Amino acid sequence: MLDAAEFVEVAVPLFIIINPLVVLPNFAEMSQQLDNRHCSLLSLRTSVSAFLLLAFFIFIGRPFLDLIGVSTEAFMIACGLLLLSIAMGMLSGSPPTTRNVEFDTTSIVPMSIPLLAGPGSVATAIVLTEAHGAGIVFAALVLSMVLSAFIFDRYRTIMHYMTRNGINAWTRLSSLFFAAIAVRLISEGILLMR
Amino acid sequence: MEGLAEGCVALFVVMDPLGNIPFYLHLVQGMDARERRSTLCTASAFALFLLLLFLFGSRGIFHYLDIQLEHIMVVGGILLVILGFEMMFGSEEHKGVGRDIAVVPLGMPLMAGGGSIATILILSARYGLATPLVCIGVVMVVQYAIYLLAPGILSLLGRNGLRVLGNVAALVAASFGIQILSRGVAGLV
Repeated sequence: MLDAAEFVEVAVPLFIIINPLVVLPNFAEMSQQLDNRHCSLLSLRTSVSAFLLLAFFIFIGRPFLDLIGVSTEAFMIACGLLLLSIAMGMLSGSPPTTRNVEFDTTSIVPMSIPLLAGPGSVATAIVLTEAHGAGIVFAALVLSMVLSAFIFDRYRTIMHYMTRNGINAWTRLSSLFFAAIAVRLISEGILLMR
Repeated sequence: MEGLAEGCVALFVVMDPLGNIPFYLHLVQGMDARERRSTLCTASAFALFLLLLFLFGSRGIFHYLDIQLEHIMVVGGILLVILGFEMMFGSEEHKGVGRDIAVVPLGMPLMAGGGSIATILILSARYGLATPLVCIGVVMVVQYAIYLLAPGILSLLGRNGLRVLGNVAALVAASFGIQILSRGVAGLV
């Protein structure tokens, strides 16, 4: 039922766009004020909320967009624009946030939304679902989220090996990925629309 | 009736009463239940008046200026995309608000803002008067109920849940805008 090659084809882009490593600096900052138990709670909450949002779009996204007459192409363009703006913010080095909310430790903004499950992930999930079906994308999502939770759980070790500079470099590099994915979403959307 | 589901969902998403609950509660803090209800009534009445004014007034003006459906769709689409950006990246901090909040900012722009006016214009250009009229009625009632039950909804969904819904609404508003914009451009060229 589950074709391994197809699964890889779905899981890799999904994991790249979800990109849990980018969230690590935010995560480290928040978890400094927390003891271990709350820290694992935070990691769980972050992963689960991103998982729920993406699962919602995988299963209900298409009919919901149909209801207001939004085509996948239009959705791709809009998500591409929003993702591009997030990527630009990351590239210029400012910490990626959405609304200027005060950080508290119960917050899932900006780590879960829009970093893990942002416009890019949502659009990618919907595009992949149309191409490969909901089941396989959902399986890839589960894998990605388990990996993310694992990465958050071991964030101290990872931060230690990658160092703060390594993570910063990775964030800049990821912002380039994100910008490229955004432009691809926009251009493919425009081309498909014609 | 044609476009009824589309219109109601689009208008609801653009008005985003669920995502606005924290702001609403911030505005009405310190009021008791009766004050809240009367403020809400005033605000809803004002928003309704504004939307109906645009719905009925715009047709004559657009006709007079020779503005066509496609032009409205292009402008409305751009407005909705900008609104989507604001919903996602805009600040949640609020400027100091006075005591009298019913008309500004609760009635306008929270209930009847640029996005909902654009949506109304698009709907009326595409489907005539009846569809947007019904949509306004339905969404205003739902919105009134949501604000009335705001504290309960907040404790049910939590601040995070509302933020997530707000972000989803931003995505949907922006993509609806792109869709309308592309239809408008396609109609023009």
